[in-house]
Amino acid sequence: MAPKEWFLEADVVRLGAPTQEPVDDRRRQLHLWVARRLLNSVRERRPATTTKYLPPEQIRSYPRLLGELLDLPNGGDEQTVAVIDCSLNHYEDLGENILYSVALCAAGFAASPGHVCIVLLPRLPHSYHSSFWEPLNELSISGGSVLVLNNEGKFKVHGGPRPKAEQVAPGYGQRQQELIGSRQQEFDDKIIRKMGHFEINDEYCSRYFFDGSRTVQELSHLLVDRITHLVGSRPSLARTELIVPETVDPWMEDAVAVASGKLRMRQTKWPSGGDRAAPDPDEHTQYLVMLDFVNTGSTYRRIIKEALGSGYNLHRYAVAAFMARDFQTEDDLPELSPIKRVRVDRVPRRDCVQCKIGLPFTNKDREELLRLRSYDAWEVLSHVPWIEETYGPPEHLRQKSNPDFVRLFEEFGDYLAYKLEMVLRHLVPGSAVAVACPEEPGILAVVKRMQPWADNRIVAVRVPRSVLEKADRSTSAEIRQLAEGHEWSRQLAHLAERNVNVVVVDEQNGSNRTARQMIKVLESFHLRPKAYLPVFNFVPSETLDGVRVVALYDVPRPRRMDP
Amino acid sequence: MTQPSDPLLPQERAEESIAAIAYYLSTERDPYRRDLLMRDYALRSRNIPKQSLVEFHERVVDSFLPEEYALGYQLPARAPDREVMEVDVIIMAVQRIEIQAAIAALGISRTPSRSYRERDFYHATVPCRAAGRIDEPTELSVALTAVGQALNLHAMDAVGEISEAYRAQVWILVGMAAGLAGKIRKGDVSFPETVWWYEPGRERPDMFEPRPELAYRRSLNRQLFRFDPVSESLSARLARAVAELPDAYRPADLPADFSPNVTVLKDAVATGERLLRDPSRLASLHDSNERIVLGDQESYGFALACRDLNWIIARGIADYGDEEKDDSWQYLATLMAVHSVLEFLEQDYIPPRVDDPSVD
Repeated sequence: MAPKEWFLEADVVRLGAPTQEPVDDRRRQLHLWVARRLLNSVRERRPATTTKYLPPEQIRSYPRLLGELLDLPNGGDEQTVAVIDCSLNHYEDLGENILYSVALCAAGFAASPGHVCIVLLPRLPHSYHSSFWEPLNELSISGGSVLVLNNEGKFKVHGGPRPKAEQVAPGYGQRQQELIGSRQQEFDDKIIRKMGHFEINDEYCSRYFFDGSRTVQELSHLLVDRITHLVGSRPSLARTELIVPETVDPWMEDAVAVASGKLRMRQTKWPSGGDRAAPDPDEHTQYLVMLDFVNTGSTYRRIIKEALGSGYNLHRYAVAAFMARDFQTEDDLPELSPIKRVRVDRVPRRDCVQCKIGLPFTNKDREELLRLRSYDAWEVLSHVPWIEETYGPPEHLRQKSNPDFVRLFEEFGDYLAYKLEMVLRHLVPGSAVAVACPEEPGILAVVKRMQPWADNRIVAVRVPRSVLEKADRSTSAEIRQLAEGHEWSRQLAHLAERNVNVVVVDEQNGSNRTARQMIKVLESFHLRPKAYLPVFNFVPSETLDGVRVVALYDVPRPRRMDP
Repeated sequence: MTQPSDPLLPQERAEESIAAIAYYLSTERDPYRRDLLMRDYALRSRNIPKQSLVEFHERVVDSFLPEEYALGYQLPARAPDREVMEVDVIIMAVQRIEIQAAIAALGISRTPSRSYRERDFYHATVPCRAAGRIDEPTELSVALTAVGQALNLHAMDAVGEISEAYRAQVWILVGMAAGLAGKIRKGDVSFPETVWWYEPGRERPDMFEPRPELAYRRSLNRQLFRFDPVSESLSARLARAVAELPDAYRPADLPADFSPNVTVLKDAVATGERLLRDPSRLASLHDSNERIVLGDQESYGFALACRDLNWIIARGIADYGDEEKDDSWQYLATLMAVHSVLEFLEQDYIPPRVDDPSVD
């Protein structure tokens, strides 16, 4: 007799987002893969198509709403496997209330025999201190079962017939990591290469500053991996301490604190100079030097020299979060192992154009200007070829000479996204915000950059160009009709219902045309955009049809200028 | 076509913008991009004094000349250095009469010490005892200036512009405000803890839904906490200032036994763009937040622009925001506010350099 079929129902939970988002097809495949590894014959009955979201205010005030949102079937004769996928959230965002609520849902569902619930979490909650396990511990062995998996493939099983979790664990971590991206990729995605005029020391200036403040968590993981790899065995780790300069960037300080905590490794703050002496070394300890940025290498050399002079037993490697690509470790110094090599465009002060034209140094800790400086804007615009527009408005309206925005965002997308996000936070401080943009490659690349910084809480509503083009000649009712059944229209309806602030973003404003179309589409859903934010605005103005306009850079370009 | 000037979003200094654009004009050969650069140059150079533009214009013109006629400058035109002065305290007032009162309280000359972008600054020093933390009193450097125009946006804009020319540990807005009759008297002084911007809201067909914005002060509250508003030295100081009040500024209805109350970290100041001429407005705001006992038109803009800085607002009550309001108390109200501020600075304010000598 053929084994009885299992039916799969899946939900992806996104905490802190103001509305739903489509679920990636690859994630649905992951759910199916997990279920099939666990059970013999599984068929999708209700795959996760859009995320179930819990906005920030409801996380605080009504965490049990999650139970209502998930709506898992209780009872019934059919064999059902449910996936509650919370793995995309930061563990810290889940909090005990949400975890308990998830556990209640899972336990309620798994109370019936023939029900298996798979809970995907970023981390397994603490075995003793978390209330998450309480409802699961009460499951009877005559009922169904609950499998809880973390992103690395570690698991715990509760309840009745134990599913074969061992078959899931090995491949799961890797698959999950492929979907989320490797840690290095996550780290790379969250680094911001800030443009400006940075003072390295008395002799050098730098064009870029690498800001790791948005990626402390990823960096701490990478530091742990790197230290473990370089130092090796557990006894060696136990005999190793870190030397960290007294004055590193705060994000590095945080990442090192987390990493050293995880490794139970002590750290020594190395004096930044003057007449303060370094503490005495311990003769049984090996010391690993760790730096935030090695650019000219002067701090690195100084610390090594002082440490060796004070009798420190240094490890043959040192670790740096960032290292200038052209920096070479000298033979007699510990070899530097950077988490990331970067191009810094370091220039001797006498050759620095920005010094010559009198531009002040950029404060790397505090953003004094939210929008672009002229020097940066024109570097961005001059760096890419100018080509005929390949997407956007109808062909007869396209610019004949326009920056290649796709390449422009490949090169400078992180910084421009960072600037847009700064303006966004400034315009809509502290509240949930969604961005709406035309469904076009350039701006979508920028929005994609912004999302990880906000833990994916910035929802992007992508309005297709075909709809924008029809919006000119359509009434609100007609636009809503055009939108029917599409994900973006559901998103807009939710946002309107919940009164969420929406900001329209775009790569450029060439004629106000797309901007007006976007505003009209949003207004047909009773959403008044809080502002319109193009990266470059070639039609400078303060408002457009009553909507505030803030561009990262304004340059007037009359349409007739087109060659 | 106008260049957007949004005081919420500080702009790059125009001289630095055009130095960069002039540099790109000297390197860019593509005629289309040169055209855009020229438009950008024209847009951003509009508010720069003509004499400061000469060197930039020369480079720009040179970039258009055929090689045989071009002078081929060795060095690009340079933006003039920012002349940023470090002071301990910036004191801002809004109206001319408030500046006059502040000058009198500080006991300084009416000749400005410096002008930046047509704005006058008056420099002064005040003694500082740092709440007894130092044996010998030190001095605090003070720069006094005027916003020049009422309204929150202008106050915000002024902070941005002043910060191009000054860095300070504490920013203080002094002046007059309307008070809620029955709760606060003319001549009383308030150092409000919060600012309540009452204008925002949603206009529905049938009603207006208020959505006020709030501004809070951060760590400086701990210093203000130390300030005793009923101390003998403050009372004596204010009494002396009243006694020395010029007749021209003495309100006709000033009671013979006038002695102002000073409140610190107790009130909220309501602020909006409308001049209060209806006492019921302030009363209804008080109903929604009982801490609101005074109203003005600049505090939110000031506090928002100073959100990352240490700021204080000190307001003297000049009227009750009603139809009968006149100007007779404006000078005295501001004078009382400035003297209260100076008392705090002199007695209880501990500048950062007392705790960390490396802070200059």
